[in-house]
Amino acid sequence: MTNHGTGDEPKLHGVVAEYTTPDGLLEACNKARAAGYRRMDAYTPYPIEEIADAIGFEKTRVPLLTLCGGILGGLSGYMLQYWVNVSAYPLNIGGRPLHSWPSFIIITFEMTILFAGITAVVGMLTLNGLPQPYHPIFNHPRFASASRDRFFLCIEAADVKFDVADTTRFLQATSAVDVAEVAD
Amino acid sequence: MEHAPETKSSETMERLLPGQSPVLLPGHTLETITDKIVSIVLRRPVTLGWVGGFAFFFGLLNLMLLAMAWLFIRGTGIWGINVPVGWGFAIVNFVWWVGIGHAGTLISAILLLVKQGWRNSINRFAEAMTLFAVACAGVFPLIHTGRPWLAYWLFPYPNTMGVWPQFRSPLLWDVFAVSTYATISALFWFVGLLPDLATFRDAATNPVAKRIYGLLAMGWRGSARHWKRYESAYVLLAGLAAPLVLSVHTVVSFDFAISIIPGWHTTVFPPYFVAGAIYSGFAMVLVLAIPIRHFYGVQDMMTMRHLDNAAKVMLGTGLIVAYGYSMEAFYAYYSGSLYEWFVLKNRMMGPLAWSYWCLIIFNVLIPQVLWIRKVRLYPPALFCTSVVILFGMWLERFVIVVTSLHRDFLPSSWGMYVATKWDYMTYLGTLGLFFCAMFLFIRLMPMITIFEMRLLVPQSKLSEEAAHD
Amino acid sequence: MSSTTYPASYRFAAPASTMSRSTRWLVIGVIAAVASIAGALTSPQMFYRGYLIGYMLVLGFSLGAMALLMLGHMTGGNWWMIGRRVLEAAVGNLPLLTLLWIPLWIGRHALYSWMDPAFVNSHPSVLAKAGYLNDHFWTIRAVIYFALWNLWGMALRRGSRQQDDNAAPAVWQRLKVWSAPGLLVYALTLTLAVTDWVMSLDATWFSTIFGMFFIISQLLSVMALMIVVLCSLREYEPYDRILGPEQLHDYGKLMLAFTMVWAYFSFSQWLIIWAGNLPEEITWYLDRITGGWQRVALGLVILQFALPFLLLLSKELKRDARKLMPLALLVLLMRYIDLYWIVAPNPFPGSDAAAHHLTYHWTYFAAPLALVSIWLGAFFRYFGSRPVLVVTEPMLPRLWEKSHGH
Repeated sequence: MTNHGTGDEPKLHGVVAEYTTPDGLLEACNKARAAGYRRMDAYTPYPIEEIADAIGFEKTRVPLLTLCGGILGGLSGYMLQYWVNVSAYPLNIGGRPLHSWPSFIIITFEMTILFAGITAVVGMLTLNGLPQPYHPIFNHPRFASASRDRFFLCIEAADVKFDVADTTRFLQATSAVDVAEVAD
Repeated sequence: MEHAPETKSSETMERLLPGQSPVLLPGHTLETITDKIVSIVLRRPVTLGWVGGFAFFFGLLNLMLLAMAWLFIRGTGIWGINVPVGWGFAIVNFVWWVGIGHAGTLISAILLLVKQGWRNSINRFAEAMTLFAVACAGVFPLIHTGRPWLAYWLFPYPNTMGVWPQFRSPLLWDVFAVSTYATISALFWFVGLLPDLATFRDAATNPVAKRIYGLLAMGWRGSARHWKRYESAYVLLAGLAAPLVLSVHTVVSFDFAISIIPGWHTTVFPPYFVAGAIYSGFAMVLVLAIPIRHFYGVQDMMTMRHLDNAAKVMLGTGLIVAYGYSMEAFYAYYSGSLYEWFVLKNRMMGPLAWSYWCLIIFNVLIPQVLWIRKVRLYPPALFCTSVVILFGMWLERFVIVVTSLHRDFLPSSWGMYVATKWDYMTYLGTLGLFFCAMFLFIRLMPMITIFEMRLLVPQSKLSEEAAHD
Repeated sequence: MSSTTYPASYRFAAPASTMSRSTRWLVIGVIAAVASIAGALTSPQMFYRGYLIGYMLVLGFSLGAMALLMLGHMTGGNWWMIGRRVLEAAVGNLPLLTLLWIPLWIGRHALYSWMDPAFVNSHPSVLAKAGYLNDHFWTIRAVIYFALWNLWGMALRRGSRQQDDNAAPAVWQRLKVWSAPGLLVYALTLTLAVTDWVMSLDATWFSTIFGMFFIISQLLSVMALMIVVLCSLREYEPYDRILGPEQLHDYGKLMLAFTMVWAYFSFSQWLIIWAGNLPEEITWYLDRITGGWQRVALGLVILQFALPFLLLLSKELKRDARKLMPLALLVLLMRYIDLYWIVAPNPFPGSDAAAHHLTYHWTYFAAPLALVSIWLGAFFRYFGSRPVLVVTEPMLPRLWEKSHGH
């Protein structure tokens, strides 16, 4: 399904275009999507919600995971306290009932937050595939400025519509200041 | 005209007064923001002032280690605590430090949720401050147990003794609240750091530094998909941290209020403790921010607006705290209860009355100078007021802990509390721990959130046409 | 893409329907008032209690609005700019509320057991505070509260009228100057007022968080009211343009935050008193969690907290007026139920026993209905008489340009 030249050339990750403004990048993303490209990624020095939408990534599963984590944390927090204080190790403390639900609310709340928070972070990292020791985009010689002031669009070789020459021409027609091939 | 609305965060709805400075002084671009913050750590040589300051606080830290070593040898008898005052400096300091640790999450989470753009330059070091303050706080209950190596008994885990913790005790709630808070604060801090660590990785020239920042950045590359999940997780964490931060000092207040000691058992404690925590937290933020912006020349990013706003938050929370004091006093009368009334009289006229009146002066009277705009805009005055508030908040906890305990229901069991030199050494020592950690942090990590500061630059915004295509 | 600013002559007149709404509510109010007067003559103790429930509810609308208005003057925000005139119209009802307080004064002996010297002398803890809790001082304090509330209400409304014609920063700066101390005055007077009027219904009971609990309750009521009013006007100009999902989202978030703080204060008070289990405190809760009242308490937990909380977590719901508005109505209803649960179970003067069994007298419905309707009638009259946005507000053009309707 891929289309990356003959066997002796180095494998290609994709063609990368560099932009100086978020507007330029957004326009290019929209055009690329309109032109039928699907396997692409944009790189920006700060979050721009519209860019993710433009490359066709609209919904994250992080909130759902976090909700599940929170529910799990709350339930296990309450059940642990109930089991410990009612059946495993019942103690009479100042005549209060063994099942002192008002006392159990606090830790239930804390456990909800703890589990939800950890799930949010671990979920975000896992879905993002981080930590990731190697990624081909770093082969781009000017990619360090993606964490400073530049915006990049990479159309990946894995795209069905990808063709080195065509894609390069396509990206050059946008407001890119530089278009380069990046090895895999 | 250079103060056009576009030079400030587009998300905040603010009306600038003539002469009021914006959140980010004009003239910055994406490049200059990045380079300036990066250069503080990666380009700037270590100065003598930094070494001197670090050495001083490192000395204090060693004082704490000394006091702790002696404590482990002799036991908590070396402190001033005894019946009836079983909670002395250790708990006072614990509450004080936890309180200070509230501002970081408040700034990061709550101000993010209410879209206050001015948080962006102070949130990072405030979060670091939170972590270090919580670490300092954690020291006290740990060593107060007398056998800190058995502290893990506090957690519910299956053991051969068949013993489980008792979940009806507020002290156990505290274990969960503070450890959850420490965990979530650390996560929040780390998640916030991730993109900036990538910036550091890309900007570092020293190969060792590049390798270390690279490892910590975990391969962050600023992909739009990553950013989307990242933003989602960050806002969720903020939403979780906001009620969490309120719950932590609430639980600390329960340590007192759940008992029936007059002076402790009062329903206003939760909100009043939370307000006090924010009050002292912002005071500590200013105590750190004012020298930092001076010595590191970041007045263009931490502008007078930040100082002004932080001062206003202090004034507001200070008034809530004052409201709490008046409620305690008024309802001591209104309750018609002999013991409630006695606690108030003892605080105001008993042997420890000096602590109560100093508290009123430091925490209620002096901070009223913050009503004056000139004071809020004059950093040295603001710095001094903040120090006074920090001291006042320490006294507040002293008054609550000691005066309530030393004379309770039975006159035959009354006593006095005097702190020993070991108490003072441990307290000063945690100040050393805190400032040592802050000194290291400033030299090793981006103390201002780079990627969020980029959002304050007009150049970072999509134009209207592009956004609606 | 539209970036046209509104013309300078634009006056943002209130929708014509506000006047007919006002009339409708006033008619309901008069009918309910007539019924209530019948109740006052036949069962005065019940009537005054019902009246107090309704009075605390509408007082909460006006005073809570004043607090939110002052908060907005200091912090700004789109939610405040859009809803400002709703808040100001609610504050405009303060003189009316001053008049409506008179029936409480007339009925004070039917409401408060400590007005009876025999009761005071037989209760040492009440005798200890007789210097504070006595008929004359109670009346004098009320006069002071109303004087202060009306003073601030007047200053805020006058400044707002000036701002309509005068864009000078000095005008809105003066409003800021009134607002900061105003919040302080509000917190202190409200705390004392609810101590006088609500807490002292059970003369021996006290709780130091009570004032703060009422502050958040009032903010919650007025936020819900503002959402209902604005959502009901969303088809009219200029709301059809500026009240987009983005803005509704902010209102939803604020209602969520206030709901959480309401629960936080309620739970804190309950947990501390439950754990202490002291006879002078726990009795107040025992009156409210036994004899059928526990069903009301459970209803509050579920309908005032759990359900709104869970629903408001959803982003879609907060952005959809058709879903947000019914929820805000539920919150308003629960505000009434909460006040009923706080006021109604107290001991009646002349008998030491509390209203041990769940009681719901018809005047508990008629009197609040009369008060709420009259309040709404006056509110819409005031609201309709002013432009619904402050044209000279410096941040308004930006909101206008950024909004594209819904």
